[in-house]
Amino acid sequence: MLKLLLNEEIAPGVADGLRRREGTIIVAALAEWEGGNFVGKEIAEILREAADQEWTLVTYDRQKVPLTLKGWTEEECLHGGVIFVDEKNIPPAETAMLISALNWMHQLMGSWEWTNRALWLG
Amino acid sequence: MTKTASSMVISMRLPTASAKRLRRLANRYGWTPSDASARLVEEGLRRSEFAFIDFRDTPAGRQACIQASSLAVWEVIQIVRSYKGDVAAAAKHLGWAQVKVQAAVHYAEAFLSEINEAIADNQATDLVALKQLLPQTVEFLPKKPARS
Repeated sequence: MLKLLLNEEIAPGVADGLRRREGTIIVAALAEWEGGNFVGKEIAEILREAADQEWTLVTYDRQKVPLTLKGWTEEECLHGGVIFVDEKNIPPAETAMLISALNWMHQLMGSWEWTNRALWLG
Repeated sequence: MTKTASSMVISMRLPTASAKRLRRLANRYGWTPSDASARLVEEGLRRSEFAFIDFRDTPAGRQACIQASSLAVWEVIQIVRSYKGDVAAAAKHLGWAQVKVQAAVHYAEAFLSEINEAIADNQATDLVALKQLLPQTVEFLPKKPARS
């Protein structure tokens, strides 16, 4: 089942917006996840904890995150799934657009097993 | 961090233990000890000259970051640019004090090419490049929602 963890560059309001739209959605902003203990942590640490707890990371970071996961994939380490948001089609400031896209995606794929998935949200 | 074109030689005396640690650090990154010390001095200077700036190892190399945050400066600037330079709006987006976003903007003004390169690098990882790194990647195009 899809549990969305919004990386720090995504407005925490997106989590609130998703909850308002769909009461059953499981979503957390990094600032609220695990009591905010992972804010300021390296991405590998966040991904490791997300994998352990089966959360799927939503991020605009296509620099640090893919490079981290490439090594994990080669070593056959599992991750909790990642959704890469394309900033050209869904700019960070367009939070309503991101809420709609994630909500739509959740309706279609929310029941999927997300371990090791990588999705380009364009 | 990019190196400046011109340079000058400054000799310095280090305790033996520090010199050994410097050599170990240089070996780890494939730098010369001279390169390593120049980079550390530059980072130290930038830390002392710019509020809220820190440096961190990332899979993409060492990057300027914002203290007490997981975000690199280039990521904050990407958000600021998405708000067309509106620092207050970017600060609200992140739930940060405005001064912290302003600090990232000042750093980016001073080291514009470094920040632009990092943003360009992020943008260059398009769907094709992402599939090469993570072969399991699939595309999802949501139906176009109305713009806010």
